[in-house]
Amino acid sequence: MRGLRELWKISEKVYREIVFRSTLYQRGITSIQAKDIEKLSKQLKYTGMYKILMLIMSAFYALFGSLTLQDLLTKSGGTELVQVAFFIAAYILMNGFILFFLGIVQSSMIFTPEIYYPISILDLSWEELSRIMLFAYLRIFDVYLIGSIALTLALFGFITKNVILSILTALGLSITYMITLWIILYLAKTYLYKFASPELSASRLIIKIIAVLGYALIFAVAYLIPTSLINYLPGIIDTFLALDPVIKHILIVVPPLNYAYFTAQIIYLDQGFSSEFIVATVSTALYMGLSMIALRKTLSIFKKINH
Amino acid sequence: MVGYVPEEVYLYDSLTVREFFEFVASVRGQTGNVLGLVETLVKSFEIEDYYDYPIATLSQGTKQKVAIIATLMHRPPILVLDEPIKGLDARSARIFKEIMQLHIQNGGAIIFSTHIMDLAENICTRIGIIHKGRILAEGTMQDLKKMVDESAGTLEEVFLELTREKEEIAHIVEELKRGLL
Repeated sequence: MRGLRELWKISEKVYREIVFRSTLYQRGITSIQAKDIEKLSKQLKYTGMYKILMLIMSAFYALFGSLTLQDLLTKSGGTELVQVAFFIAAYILMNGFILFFLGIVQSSMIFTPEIYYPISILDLSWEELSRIMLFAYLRIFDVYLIGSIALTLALFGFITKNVILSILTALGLSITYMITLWIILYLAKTYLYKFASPELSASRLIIKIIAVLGYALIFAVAYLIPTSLINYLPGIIDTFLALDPVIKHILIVVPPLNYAYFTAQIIYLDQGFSSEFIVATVSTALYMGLSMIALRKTLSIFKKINH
Repeated sequence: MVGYVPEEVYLYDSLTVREFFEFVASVRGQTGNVLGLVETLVKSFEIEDYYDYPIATLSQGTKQKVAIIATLMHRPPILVLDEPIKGLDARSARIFKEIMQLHIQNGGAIIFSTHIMDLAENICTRIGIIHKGRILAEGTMQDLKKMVDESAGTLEEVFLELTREKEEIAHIVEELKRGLL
């Protein structure tokens, strides 16, 4: 049995092929000439640059998030707990959303024979093969995944000077990522396999539209969220507080608001406990349980990849 | 232990031929001396010119050669080959047949499937005839001959006898003669 470091190294080539094929399919494989493939193949050596851009994006979100949160933490007036909860929920949701769109196209390639077969005929055990495919999948997200969690932990802690807040937000991100990774994998396995087939041009078109919309939305959110939060957050909070208590409790159950509300309540322990806190705590426990199930399901898909 | 060449060759298109061989060697934990053998095989199959080309740019025949070299790189005692000379030019097919003979002389074993009867007849010590998913016969060439008309000289004739296609072919040929002449 090879060590994890060795298997991680092997997965680099598998990941490179995933990037190569997803780029080809998005461009329309039949129209690409040999010289284009050569050029593309050389460009793949610089996929690290793309990852650095992803890291910059996650750094931007973490920086913006911590500054806004710091601003919210210094406010008072009775609604600060709900404001912090809504902001953390938006922050977690936005990061999960970015993770989804950054990985959905490339993930659709992972179950294609072109990716799996070349290493399946080498002298690897099924267990090693499963791990390599899992690592190749994680490589699609690695920089953004680790970068955003680490930067959230560091910047939230450094700027807000609230270690508990930074740890809880980073934990919330991790939980959401575990579920997002399973959703992506499930979609890739169940629906997107067909998109990898070059002859299905209509399907390729749909996935292109999804990708373009995804990227457009990411940048729209990047522009809109700062403006929205500064201008509209008080209005959103007022609307939320004016809601019927039953509806309010139902909304608090919805992830990741449940986790964010739970985090905010921990930060503002001095404000006492409410029935919303009990609802948020119970649903947060369920959310964490769900993330564990998602992790197990993700690992299970890779364990059964040879079947 | 086992080297396998599938009928449908899948390689990593994003890698160059050189990178692919290095990748295969690293996965198998091979070091140093393997490159000498690769160089010899690359020259034998005349793919030196494509050594630094991405695999995506290669023809199907060249990809087949790359797959064969990658399989032979770690000198496996057992080779499992599915239509190994499909897509190969005459020169490369001949070289590969010689490689198969050398492999056998060195004490190796080869299990392969083919539709080319001459290839099976010249190389195999034991032959299994599969027709419509069923094994009809298995044995040495002499064993197979004994199973059919003693006059059957070649494996092709044995095959047609065993699958009862000889009469059908004779009938088709008669019809063709009537239609074409």
